[in-house]
Amino acid sequence: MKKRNRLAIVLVVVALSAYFLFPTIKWYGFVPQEVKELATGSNVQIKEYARGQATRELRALKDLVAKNADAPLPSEYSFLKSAAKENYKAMRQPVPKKWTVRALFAGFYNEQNMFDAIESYHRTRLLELKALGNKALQLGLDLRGGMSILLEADVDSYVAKKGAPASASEISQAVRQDIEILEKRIDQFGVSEPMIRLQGSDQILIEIPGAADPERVNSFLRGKGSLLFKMVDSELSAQLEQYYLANPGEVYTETGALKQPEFLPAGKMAAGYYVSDEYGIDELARFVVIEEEIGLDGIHLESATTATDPITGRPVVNFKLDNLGGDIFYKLTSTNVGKTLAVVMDGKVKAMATINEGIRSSVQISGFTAEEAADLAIVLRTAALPIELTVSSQQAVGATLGEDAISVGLKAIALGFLLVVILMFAYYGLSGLVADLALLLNMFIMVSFLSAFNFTVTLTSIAGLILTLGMAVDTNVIIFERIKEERRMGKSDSAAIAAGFNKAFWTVMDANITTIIAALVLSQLGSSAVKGFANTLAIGIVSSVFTALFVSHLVFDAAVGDREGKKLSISWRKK
Amino acid sequence: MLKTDTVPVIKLRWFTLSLSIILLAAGVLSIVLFGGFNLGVDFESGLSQRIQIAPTGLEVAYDGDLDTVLSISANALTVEQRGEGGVATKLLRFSEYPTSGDIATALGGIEGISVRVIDGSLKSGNLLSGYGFPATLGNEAIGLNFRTSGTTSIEEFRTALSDLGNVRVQTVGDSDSRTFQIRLGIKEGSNQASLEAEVADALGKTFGKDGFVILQSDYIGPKFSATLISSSILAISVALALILVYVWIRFRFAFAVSAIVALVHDVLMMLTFISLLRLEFSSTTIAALLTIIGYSLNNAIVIFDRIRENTGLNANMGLRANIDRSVRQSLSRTLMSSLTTLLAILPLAIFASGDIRLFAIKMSIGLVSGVYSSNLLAPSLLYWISKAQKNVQIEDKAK
Repeated sequence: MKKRNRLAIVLVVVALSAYFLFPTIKWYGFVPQEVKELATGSNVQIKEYARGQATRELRALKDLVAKNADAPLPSEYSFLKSAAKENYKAMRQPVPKKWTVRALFAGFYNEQNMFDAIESYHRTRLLELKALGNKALQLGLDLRGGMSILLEADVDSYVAKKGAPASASEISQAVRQDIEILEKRIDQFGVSEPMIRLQGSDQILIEIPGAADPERVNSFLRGKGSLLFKMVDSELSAQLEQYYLANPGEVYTETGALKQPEFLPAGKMAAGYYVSDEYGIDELARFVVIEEEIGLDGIHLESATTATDPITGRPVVNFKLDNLGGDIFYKLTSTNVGKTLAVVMDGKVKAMATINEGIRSSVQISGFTAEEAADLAIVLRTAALPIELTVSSQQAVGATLGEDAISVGLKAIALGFLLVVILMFAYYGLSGLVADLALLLNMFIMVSFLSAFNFTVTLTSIAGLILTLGMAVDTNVIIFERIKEERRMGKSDSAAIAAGFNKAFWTVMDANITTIIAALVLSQLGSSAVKGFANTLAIGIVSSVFTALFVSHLVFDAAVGDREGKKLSISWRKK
Repeated sequence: MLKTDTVPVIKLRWFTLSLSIILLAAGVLSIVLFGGFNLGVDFESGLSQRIQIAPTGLEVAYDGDLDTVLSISANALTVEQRGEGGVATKLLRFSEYPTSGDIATALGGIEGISVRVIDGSLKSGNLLSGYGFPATLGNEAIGLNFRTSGTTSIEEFRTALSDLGNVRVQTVGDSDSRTFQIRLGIKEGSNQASLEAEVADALGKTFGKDGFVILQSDYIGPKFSATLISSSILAISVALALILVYVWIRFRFAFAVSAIVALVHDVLMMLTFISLLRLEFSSTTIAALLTIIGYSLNNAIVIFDRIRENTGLNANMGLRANIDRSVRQSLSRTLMSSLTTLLAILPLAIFASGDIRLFAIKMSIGLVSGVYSSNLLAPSLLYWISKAQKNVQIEDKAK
């Protein structure tokens, strides 16, 4: 292959690596800590933040226009220009040349339109950052601090509760439902999103970055979320809808929570009626006014299932109440026939149904699509997990220890790297520097591919990184020793280089293929700590073979071609 | 370097074999005498905690309706409050609030939070975040601990835990870091929460209720450790089998068997040293074992490659001379590679702590034993096996 083509391939690989590494550099280097914390929150939290921010900024803009409408638009709001420009075009009006506050307001149909534009800007920005963060190199729990819990399905108690032996598929189905429920509870949990994964057929692995607080985890597992049945006030609900429509800036407080309007009498409260959108985020559908008084507490719920109504063929949700719950519910429903009942979870209305008659223990709610029914059944079930879970192992690392581990690991890598670079230069002269260059490139490619494959960097992968350092040097050493031997046999520099690389090729391949076999087996079969190590090693082997056989070779060919007659510097011995 | 162009590998073969057998026998003996390995928490069910003695500087409580969470990072303390739907975050950077007194004032400014100052002069940068953080604030006060200088001897620490029965205690880092690693087996009827509570109670009596920070807490149930052992053994066996097949295809059967026997030797040798030096056998040990398998395999392959090349070139010289020559020709490469890897590993063995340091120490042992086995043992084995196989292509004429 021509040198030019080989150079092109090397440049393509470097460019590709830089592309993969870009999110990591941007995320760790250029995103401020506060923004990072916001962006790593759950989608619901991001939405709340965007709403709060929109409320605040809309108010500030209204203040500005009231004070001096012809003042130039402050730069922090210039993100609104593009939305306003599109509106101007849609209204077939000229786009203003100078952006004043007044010009901006004229670019929106109404306040709601402007509110949506601000909210969407903030939400999009954070969601983009969140996507960036997911693409960046992830640190394992042992480095950033956090907790990992392996839960195991308590089959015995499940069988005892059921009163009959359970098949393996039934257990696994129940465990899957557990996971679904735990995922629904994420919203209530806190800053970072925990990762919940099925392991084997009856185990659940939960990893919670940043948090090492067993109390919070326990409350998460128990499900501290509240499920309540409350009566809806239809008249006030209609009035509330009207009010919010007229005053879009008064819907939310600055923290993004629903604002309680003053006209509501005591004992009544405004709440949002949410339905899950296609991303699984609760989307606000409309507003309703509900009683503050609790109609029935969800603790009385025994089970909830979906079914199809035999007569209408429409999906329904059936749930059973315990005896006390049945009494309370009967009283509630029989005195409120014809009115609407709301299912409220964590302050959000998740479902509403009209009461047709007094109901005791076995309740059927209808009036949804099949998906909505399934969602509601899950919401109702969230009060209890279908199969109890016990802790099989729990590992927690505080943030302090994680930070120490990172700094020590990085320092050790840097020192090891430096020592190797010096030794190679001292022993092999200028050729040693070629090996050092290959080594540097190797590290760069490795880190970028680790982030491209979304691998998590743990303590063991740092160990793998260091080991690969040694292995990458080895490949160069094999080649150099061969070149030296060929030169001792009296060959010219260029002939010695060609023969050296040729003869070393299969040695290098055999040595590395056997190691990569070991690495690949481990990355498939090993425990999670070993996996991190094996993945790093596998990537490192591929990239070290590439850098040594391809990049070093190219540098040697180029150097010898340009310096005909000069001595190749490959030994510390002066000849 | 050696001036001769051979290494007398075959001459030394009986010595090589005896040395390996003696060392491995010592390993077996030590395992019997010590009653097994010093198993790490991953392999032995129980509770393992790393605890640092550090005085409480502030006590923080919260009285209100919001879900209030306090977290500590390297350079800031964050209070996050969540209401019906909204989040409010207050970030206190240590550069702006350098002492515990400053932090206390700022925290006290948040509605509902009350702070009791025990020592207001501590440096904020020394705040420790351990088990229990990010902490949910409530009526019951939570202590914020600060790393301070001072010493706590391991005897003092051990005495504090003596009521718990059989607890293993080790110091971590320097004596003035006041950090200890403890290990506690699972008792009849105890679970993770009860074990943690027992440790906290016992320490609380000696060092004050919040006078320590649990930096790390690992609980391993009995079933988990069993799975880990079986999955590790399976992984290593599959890897070895595949390597055997590859070397068999690329070289000859005798090469493959010698390489695998040398690898098994390296694994046993490392286990021997782990047992002799009473190092902990943890999941990183598996990683070290695997690395050494890969590494000494690498060495053996490079040497075997040379032997194959030389026997092809100088068939009339005989296997014995060719082996000696090949080992010599690969020697500077073997030494150089092992030296660079050792240089990369040594900083970790010296400066790091905990698992990663153990990993580096075991790796260093493995590297040395790998050089020995790939240069001396594997070629000797190749010689024996080739001789035993009557159908060797190159007759040993030199003898």
